[in-house]
Amino acid sequence: MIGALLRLLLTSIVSVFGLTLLTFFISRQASSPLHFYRSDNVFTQYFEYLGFLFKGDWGKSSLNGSDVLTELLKHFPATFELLIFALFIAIFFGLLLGILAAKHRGGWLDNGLMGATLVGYSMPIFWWGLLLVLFFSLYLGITPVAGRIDYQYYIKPVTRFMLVDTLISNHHYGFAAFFNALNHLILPAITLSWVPMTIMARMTRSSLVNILKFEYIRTARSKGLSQTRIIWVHALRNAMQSLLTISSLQISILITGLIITEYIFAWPGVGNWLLNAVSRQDYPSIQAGILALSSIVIIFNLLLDLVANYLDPKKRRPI
Amino acid sequence: MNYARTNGLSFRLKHWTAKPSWQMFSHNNGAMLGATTLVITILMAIIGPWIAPFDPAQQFSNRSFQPPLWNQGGNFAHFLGTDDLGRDLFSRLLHGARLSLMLSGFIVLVAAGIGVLLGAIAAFLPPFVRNILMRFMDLLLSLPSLLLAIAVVAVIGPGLNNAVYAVILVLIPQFVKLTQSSISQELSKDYAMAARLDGARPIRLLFKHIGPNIVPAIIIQLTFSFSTALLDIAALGFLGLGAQPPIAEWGTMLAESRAYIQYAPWTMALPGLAIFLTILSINLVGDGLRDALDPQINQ
Repeated sequence: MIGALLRLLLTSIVSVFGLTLLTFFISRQASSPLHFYRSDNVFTQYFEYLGFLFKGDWGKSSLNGSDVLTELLKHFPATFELLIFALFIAIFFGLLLGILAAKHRGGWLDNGLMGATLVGYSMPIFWWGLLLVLFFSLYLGITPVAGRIDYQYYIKPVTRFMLVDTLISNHHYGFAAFFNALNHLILPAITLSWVPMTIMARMTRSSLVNILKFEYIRTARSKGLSQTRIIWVHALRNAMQSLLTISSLQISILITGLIITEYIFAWPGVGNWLLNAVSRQDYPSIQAGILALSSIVIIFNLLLDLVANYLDPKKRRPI
Repeated sequence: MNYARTNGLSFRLKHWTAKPSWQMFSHNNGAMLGATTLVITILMAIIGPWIAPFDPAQQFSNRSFQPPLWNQGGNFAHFLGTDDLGRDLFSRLLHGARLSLMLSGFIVLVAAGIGVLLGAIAAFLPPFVRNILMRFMDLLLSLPSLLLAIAVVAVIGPGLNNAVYAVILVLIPQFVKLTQSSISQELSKDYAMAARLDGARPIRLLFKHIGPNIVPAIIIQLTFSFSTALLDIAALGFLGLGAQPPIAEWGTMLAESRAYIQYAPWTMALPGLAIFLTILSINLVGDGLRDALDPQINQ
């Protein structure tokens, strides 16, 4: 168990080091050097670069000289809020639709849902986002077009999570601001969760359909357990294994979508900040943005592996 | 291969005969629909310059924002409407189809060529070197493709050519990984061992014995990479990092339409629909090919 955990941890650390190689290369593109290196050798400079990263000195933006790490941390909560919200939608509705389809497998509901998810899976989300804006924001007028909150609300940034900040602010409009922020969040979250949700639904359905053929399900049924309990308790736990394996692909898709979604909705997160930096050739910010977004992927993958390790009894035996 | 066939050692060989595969593929309604749409798109892209009513860059300053035929005020001259500069949308879409399909095809072929070569070499490398190489490929694979492409574009600068290089680089690891793992898998089978004992050298082993068995997996990967390439090129164009205006590229057209989506929704709807239908048809074909060529994956 501990050996497996250590190996997982080590793999992630090696991955992060591999990433820093890439970002070191990017940071060297800047016209003025990011840090003042003492050596002339590229190889030793890389280790100095690592030292600077560890000390929290990620360089200064070549646009306005502000500290890159501070800027990154300022933009991170917005990204995290959107990501968590989208992940929740993707997992919840993906599971729900997948279970629904598996329950009625072969029926019209199953066929309809699976056809819809196939169509949804091929949807380019930059088009999907624009379609949602056109329909919900411009045609129906029920959601805002862009941003995190309306300008009439002034919310003091404490945690920089807008949903939290609005609730802990002691303004008289705290609740109104909260719902305004939620309203701003809903369309980007739907856009972002779309593709992962369809994959989740398809995976849930296919693994459940396989699992429901197993003998232990028949046993559970003959014990007189309800269909709901069989699916939610007995089958789903088994299906989790394959769902977790596919989830590492999901997080990668989610980050790709994140950059595009933040761009469409002018969401003040890391993805938008990175794109701005790319278009202005602000290399210190580019290396920070890429390092941050890829680290999210690596950390999520590590967490997923840990959960999978925990869920799989075969992997749980001591070394 | 003869050795394998006469001994009946490789049961996968029988899937790699044209007839049953085609039967399976042609009985798959979704795959046939996708294939038909794709063939029509490709034909349109090929004959595009001859059937396009106007030059994709030609501006009619007095005809900007003409709605498509089915809207009020549409006319036959520009039956899919015009954009903000009065350029004919149908001609631009045709040009975009040509560009997208050609570039994606080029990207996939180059990426597959390099990736398969690297993967084949890696499979015969000593385990230590191979593990380091594969770990690196795993890292690249775990990162979001668009993020990597953005990183590459950030270094070499935006533009259509650079976007193409970026997407090629991003797609290579998939092929390296797939080729290496399938070759390693095949190498451990009895027929490969028999060929080795017969004195076959790595090159002969690869091309005569193992090659035919890994081709289906690579073809399936080609289809899915093709749709990834198309999507990534369009996404980079949309984000302003790929093709630059006035090039008629689907993603760039979509980006240009953003300012007018309320006033002229068709300028946004049509390029997006083109991307969506093409991706959908490629994915349908890919699914069908996977079912037809490699029944084991599906079960």
